Amino acid sequence: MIHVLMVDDDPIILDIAKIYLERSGDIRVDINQSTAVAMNALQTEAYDVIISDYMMPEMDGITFLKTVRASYPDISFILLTGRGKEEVVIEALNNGADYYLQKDSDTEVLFAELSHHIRQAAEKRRTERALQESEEYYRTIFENSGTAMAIVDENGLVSLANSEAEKIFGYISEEIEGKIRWDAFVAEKEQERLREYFRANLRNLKTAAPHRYETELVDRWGNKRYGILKACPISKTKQHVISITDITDLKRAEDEVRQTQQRMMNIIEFLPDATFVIDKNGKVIAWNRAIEVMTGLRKEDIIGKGDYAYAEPFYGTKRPGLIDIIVSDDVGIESLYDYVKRKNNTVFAEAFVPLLYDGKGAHLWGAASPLFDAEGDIVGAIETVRDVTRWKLAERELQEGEERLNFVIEGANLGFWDRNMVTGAVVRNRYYAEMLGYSSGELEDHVMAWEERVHPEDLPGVNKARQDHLDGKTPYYEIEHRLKHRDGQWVWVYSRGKVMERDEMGSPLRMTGIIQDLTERKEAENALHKRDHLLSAAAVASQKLLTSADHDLGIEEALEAIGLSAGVDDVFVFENFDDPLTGEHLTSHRFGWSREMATSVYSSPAIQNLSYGSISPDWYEILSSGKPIHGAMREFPQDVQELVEKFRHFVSALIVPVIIEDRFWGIIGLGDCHSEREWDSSEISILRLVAESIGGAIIHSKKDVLLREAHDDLEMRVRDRTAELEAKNAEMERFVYTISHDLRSPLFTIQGFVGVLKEDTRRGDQEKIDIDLQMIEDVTTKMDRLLGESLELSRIGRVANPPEDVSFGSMVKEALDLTLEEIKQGRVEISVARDWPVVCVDRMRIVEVLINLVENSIKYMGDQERPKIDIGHQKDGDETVFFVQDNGRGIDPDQHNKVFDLFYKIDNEGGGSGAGLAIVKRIIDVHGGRIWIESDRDKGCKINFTLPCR
Amino acid sequence: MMMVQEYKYDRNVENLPLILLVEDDATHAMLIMRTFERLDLPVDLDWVKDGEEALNYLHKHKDERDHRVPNLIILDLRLPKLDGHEVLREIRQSEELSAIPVVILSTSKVDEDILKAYTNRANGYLVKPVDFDKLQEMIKYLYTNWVG
Repeated sequence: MIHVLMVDDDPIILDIAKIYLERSGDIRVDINQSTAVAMNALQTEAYDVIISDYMMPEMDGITFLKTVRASYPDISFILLTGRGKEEVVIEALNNGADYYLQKDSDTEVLFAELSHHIRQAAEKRRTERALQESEEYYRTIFENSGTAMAIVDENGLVSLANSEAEKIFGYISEEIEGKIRWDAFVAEKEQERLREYFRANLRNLKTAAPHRYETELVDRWGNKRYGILKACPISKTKQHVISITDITDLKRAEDEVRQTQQRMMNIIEFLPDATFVIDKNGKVIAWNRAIEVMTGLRKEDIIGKGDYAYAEPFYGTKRPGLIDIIVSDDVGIESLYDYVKRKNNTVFAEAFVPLLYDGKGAHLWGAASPLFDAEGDIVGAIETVRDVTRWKLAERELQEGEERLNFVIEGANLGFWDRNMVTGAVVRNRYYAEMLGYSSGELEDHVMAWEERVHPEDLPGVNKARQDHLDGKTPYYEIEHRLKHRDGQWVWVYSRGKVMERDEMGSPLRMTGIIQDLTERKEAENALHKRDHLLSAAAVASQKLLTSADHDLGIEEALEAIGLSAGVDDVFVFENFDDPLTGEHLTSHRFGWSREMATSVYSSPAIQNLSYGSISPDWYEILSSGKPIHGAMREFPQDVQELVEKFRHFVSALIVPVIIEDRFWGIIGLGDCHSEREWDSSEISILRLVAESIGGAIIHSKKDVLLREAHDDLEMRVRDRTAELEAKNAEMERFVYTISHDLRSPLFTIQGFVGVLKEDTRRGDQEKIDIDLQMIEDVTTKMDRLLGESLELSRIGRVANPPEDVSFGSMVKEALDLTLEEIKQGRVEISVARDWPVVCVDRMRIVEVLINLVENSIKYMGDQERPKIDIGHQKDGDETVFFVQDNGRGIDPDQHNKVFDLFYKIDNEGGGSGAGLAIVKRIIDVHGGRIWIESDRDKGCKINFTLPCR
Repeated sequence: MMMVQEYKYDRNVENLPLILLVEDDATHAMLIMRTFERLDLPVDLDWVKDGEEALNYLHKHKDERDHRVPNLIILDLRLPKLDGHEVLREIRQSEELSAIPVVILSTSKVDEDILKAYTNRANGYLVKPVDFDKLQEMIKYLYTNWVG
């Protein structure tokens, strides 16, 4: 039944329509004159179709359509209009009207048409709704299947993806749909394979059965995932549905299991002990590297084999081994081993295997344990085999060693003891007892008794050494101490002991040790000890003498070292010398050390210049022959006793000579104020040693001074010489530079004019040719003079006449004689000083200097109407300064230094080459004098210089 | 030697570029002037014999209105009174003169001289060549680069 609501303001139309439309029986019509009432009806009844008039008083049909559509978009709407309202028709269709009819046609036709349209509209709505419901149905399935799904269109683009797919790949569906190809979610390496696979299978697909493919996927962040893909074409479309089951977690778990297994196998592979594993059927499933080495049997040849094949390399036959105790209950196997022990699930055993190592055989120790699965059932067993041959041998050696040790102890006369630390019981050997004057078995058996025998002075030390060892601070203890002999005497022994056994807590259980009789050795040692002491003092003394920068202090320190270690009260050194007038042998105190520090008494004149002759005439002879003098003071000559008594109360003394370079230089002596000493030979020879060292130090210090002086002198000379050479070198460099520069200058002119000359000759310009030639000639002359003067300059100092004493005045006279011509020509008045000093110079050179200076003065006289030259000398402190002074043009102060440079010219007017003053300076320099200028422009010029005087 | 003073470079043409040659050696000065003439380079060339004279010449334009400032100075280094380095330094420190190009023409090849010249902002440093052809090239170069 089609349910229709019709709205029209004309009740007649409504009635006619109801009758007419309901006639067919499949349409029921509700009629309404008011749109408002119609809206109410829509709320309570479900209508399939609404028919509305256009022209209505409340609202027109278009407005009504809009109102209806706002709430009921699915109800079909048919609009009735008058003729000629085409604009209404268009607006109605645009607003969702399904049909329109024009009312003015024949009633019969109108209602026939209307009922047709009603049926059609109702049918269209129903189909639409069914389709929509169906789509929703499948959509719900698609979304809620719990599987990631996507629909892929003919181009491979994902057109739909469900929320599971979003979850797996991390996209939201809007990012995927219509934008991304399905294979973008597949790992790159898999893509081509998968595409090929789907192409092949989906093309040949007859039925809509899905195809599975397990593959690696990739999510939006590039993470690896694993999934099972199923693809299936959707019938009658070109689309496919792809479902993806995410198996990433499963995969990872599988990988982990695999890796764990691999790690296990690796651990077994590299175990240092030979190891193999069997499964519960007795097949070998692991055979590690160490067992390959031990047996020579490679993994490839044993893995997978059962039937006791693993026993073959050990025993030569296939028989059960230790590992089989785990998997089988055959107890008969145990009889094959030396012993079989069990601890928890593990079985240990040892056996000698004669076949191993090419028949060398080996002691093997083995351990086998079961392997369990997760349920706790035994699934196999693992056995480890270790070669213990070396330990076995060591064990045997130990036993033999103990026997040998006992033998040695007996033979070496060592006392041996072995103490039970818990009970205190002691076992001792025979020699131990004999050492203390007992027979074996006579000594009490307890530690307390032993402690009573140790010397009370030694007991603390002995106890400490023992305790340190018992506390684990030392690997053993050793100490020398005294033990009481049966007869009451003390016996020196060397005692050494060690804990041999401790319990789990580390407490000692058993201690053993030896003692050795040291009586004889101790006596020898005492004598040695005394000598050692002195010797080391001598060494200290020698070292002081050698290393002390101040040699007097070194000697004093050496004396102190000797004095202290020899245990004497005084050490003294006297130096000999002979009276220059009488030739008498005398001696004076030089160094001393005194225990009471009262050394100052030695500075007394009473012990200076002592005469050997007057004290003890034969001592000089004895000592100079290298012999010592020693003994008790009371046995010394009377004069000596009296002399010594003034300063020291010596009871005994020792004197040895100090010999330096075969000369009896003096003596060194020791004095003891307390005991009458027997100076033994070692003391005497050690003091001799010190005497030699002191002698060495004295020579050394003398030589040192000489050497240092020589060295300083040499160094100073080297320095002076170096400075001199450096100055010469610099001068030479300057000279060569100047020469090369000044020779290039005329060459420039000559070459230039030769070039010009060629040209002028070609042109035949005689006037210019003459100029050119004149130029070349002038310059050549100039060059010749330059060379001559350079040569001259270089000769100064190199070629020199020996200096002679000569009066300066005579040289002035000579110079003036030689320049007489110029003086006359320049009408120069000359005044010469008197009382000339004598100088020590190369006469020719100084005359040359004077000529140069006089000529210069005349040359640069300028416009002076009364030209005048003064030649004189004046005192400046100790020095005599000579000078040549004129009243000519003078020289600017800023030129004063330059005028001495080679070839420097103030201007071009003098006509000189500029070498004159350079030569003058050079000559004065060579004589070790100084030269300088006092002058100013138009104030005349005064050239000063100094020379070495007598 | 007397002939040098009498020698005058041809100055018929008005307002030619002016070059100041500072050179103590008359033969060198003569040779340089002859080379300009030989090459037919249209310049006015004035010659002074030492550093002091050079500075006097350059400052003269203050007093004499028609005295020209040279377009180029060719400067020797070893000069009496004031040497070339000192002249160059004076020129560079003077406001009116510092813009004049100065090219050193010396027999010295010593690094110290070259360095000092360039430190004092010489525009060029030429070593007097012993070869006449080279001298001609050098003068041509001076003309085209600094005057022409």
